[in-house]
Amino acid sequence: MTLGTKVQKLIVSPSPHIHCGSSITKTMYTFIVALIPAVIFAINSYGLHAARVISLAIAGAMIAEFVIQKIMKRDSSFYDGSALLTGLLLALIIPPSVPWWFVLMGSFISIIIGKQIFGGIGYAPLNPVLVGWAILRISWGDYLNFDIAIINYDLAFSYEYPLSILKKVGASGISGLDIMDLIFGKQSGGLGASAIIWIFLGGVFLLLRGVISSMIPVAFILGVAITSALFWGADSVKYASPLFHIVTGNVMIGAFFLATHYSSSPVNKIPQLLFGFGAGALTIIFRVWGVYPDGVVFALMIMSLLNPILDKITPKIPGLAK
Amino acid sequence: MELRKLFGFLPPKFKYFLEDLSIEKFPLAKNSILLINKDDKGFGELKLNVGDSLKSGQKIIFENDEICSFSSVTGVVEEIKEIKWADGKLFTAISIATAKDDDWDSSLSGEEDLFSKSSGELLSRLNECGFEFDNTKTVIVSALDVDLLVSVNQQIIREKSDNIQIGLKLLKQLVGSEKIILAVSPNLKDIAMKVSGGNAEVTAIDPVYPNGVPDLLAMKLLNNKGNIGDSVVIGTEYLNAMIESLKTGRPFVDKVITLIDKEGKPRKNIRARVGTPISEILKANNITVNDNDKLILGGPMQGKASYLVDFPITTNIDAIYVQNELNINEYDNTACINCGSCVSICPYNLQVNLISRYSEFSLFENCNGLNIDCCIECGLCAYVCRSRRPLVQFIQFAKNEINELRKEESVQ
Repeated sequence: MTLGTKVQKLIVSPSPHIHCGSSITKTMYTFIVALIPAVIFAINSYGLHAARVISLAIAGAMIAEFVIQKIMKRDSSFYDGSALLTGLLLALIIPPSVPWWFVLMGSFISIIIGKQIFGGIGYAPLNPVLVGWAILRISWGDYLNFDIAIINYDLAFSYEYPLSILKKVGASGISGLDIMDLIFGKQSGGLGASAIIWIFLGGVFLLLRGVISSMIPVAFILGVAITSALFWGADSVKYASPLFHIVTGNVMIGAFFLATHYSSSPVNKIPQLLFGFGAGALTIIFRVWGVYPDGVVFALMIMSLLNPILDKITPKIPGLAK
Repeated sequence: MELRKLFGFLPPKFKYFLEDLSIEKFPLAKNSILLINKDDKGFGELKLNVGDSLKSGQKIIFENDEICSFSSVTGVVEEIKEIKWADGKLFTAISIATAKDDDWDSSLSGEEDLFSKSSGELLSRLNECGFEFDNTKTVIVSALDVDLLVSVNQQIIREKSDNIQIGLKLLKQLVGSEKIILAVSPNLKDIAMKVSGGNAEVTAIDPVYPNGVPDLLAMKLLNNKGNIGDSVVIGTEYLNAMIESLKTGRPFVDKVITLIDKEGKPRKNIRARVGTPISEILKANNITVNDNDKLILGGPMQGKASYLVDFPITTNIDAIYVQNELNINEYDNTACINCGSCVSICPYNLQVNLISRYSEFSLFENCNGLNIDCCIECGLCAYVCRSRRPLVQFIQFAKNEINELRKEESVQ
């Protein structure tokens, strides 16, 4: 017998030869499933207007992804759910009353400027959703003014944005608001971002599925709580309580869905803590001293810029002499 | 070995296979192939021609009379050719038409009473039989297997406990009892205590992959006690082979392997002669290798995929695993999405996300700066990778390139 005469078509590959079964597609759809309660809440509250914004945002993001990947001759990532998630998240942090072109513009900016210009999934230094939102906020800020965004809806709660009241009037203005009402979404704000309890449950689902690390959301909420507690402790007439800050604006959706965007957040435990805590602290600083009522988006973008430096704090390698 | 449960809090663990799987002897095959890595020793051509007859245990020597290897069977040399092994290294393959019965080389002689010999004599005898053993270092005898689904070392301590007992006693004579550690999984601790008889320190190790990988095992056992570089990890199978060799004078020719069937379950342990073609073992156990299947030499996490079905059993194959076409995981060339799964699972806390990207874009110096040398290639990172990147291959590639660079530098 001669070695190598019996030729058979065998598959060869590097080790390991088994895989746990996770994939980008499954991960992205896990995020999307976690957002379904918030989507249902949004449609329940604002009816077809919410459905319109969500559909437009998702369609815009996916079309932008498809077209730009064709133009740039890249492998298509149309079906992996990442563009869908970007569109959905963008829709959930804008109000229901905005015009169609505004939503499409946001999606296009998110995908093209936020993601594909840098090289697509995995290369974005900032969360594309935040890039889209920030450019919309600066360019067409009137449409993102939550004070008047839901003025035409017949809702059981005040159409005024709690954070704007806080900014204009101070803590006395929000004393009438019930924290439980805020938690169950009876507040003005982003389509789904105001559904605090549903976003929180979605986040817990993400943690249980292991697609996000618990460090970033916990540190982010802690950052918000501790920083606002410092202000509140200094002057509780002027500044709002930590609980109020946690259940308003984009803090909850930011903690679980925006801050945990993979390529713009650190992978090591201590950097994740610093990232989350820093973003939480900056959020409150922007809310207190900034021009805009909410600061989550800008705080996260600033911390994302620090991400490569933060991630240099690496854990000790066991057994390695220093 | 499983996907995270829908509501599971903790990540799934990678448990070793711990059941009792008895060792079955495999008869001598009609043909045997010896693989010899000449490059390792580098003494030129072999003093062997086609048509020469070999006896079992006979030394195969280079032209300058340096010992190269041992023949594991009796028979006539049919062919000598160069062949690449599964990992791409060049080997000399000697095909032998095997005789039915072993005719052991007459120069081989065993010892009746091992304990009457001095340490020097024992060491030189071991060296003669082809065992490399350094008695200045701490010895860790591992009854854990390196890879998942493999149960060779565990089964040896179950079935050959008398030899292991003698082995530990001899080791005590060679290195001193304070420097011997017997590492076992908790379910084998009773046997281990009985076997050690005070000759070795018995330590139970959590049977979770990759704790059985030698480097990691040494680190876990010795991290607080001293220098890891001063230790050597040997499996119970190796210790058993050492004792058998001392008793009979024969070299390490019988290898135990775990046969993993197509469903990914260990079927049985087989004690086969080194050189037995794998195709014979598969045929005898009714495992068919179809086109587009994957033949893995070793376990699922660290085994090498073979491109030929008739590679022989060698002393460093612990398992044979034929993977069905449907179960083969596909690697992808997607970008790293920085999810951090690899970093959080790495037993050495390496920055696999960065290392793989640096390797992908040929920035090997940066890989070096991230301590890529510490990687034990356990494969956990690629197992959990969401982008399904071939992370272990990226690491092996970068390590290789760094070694080449260092060689060039040392030449200059």
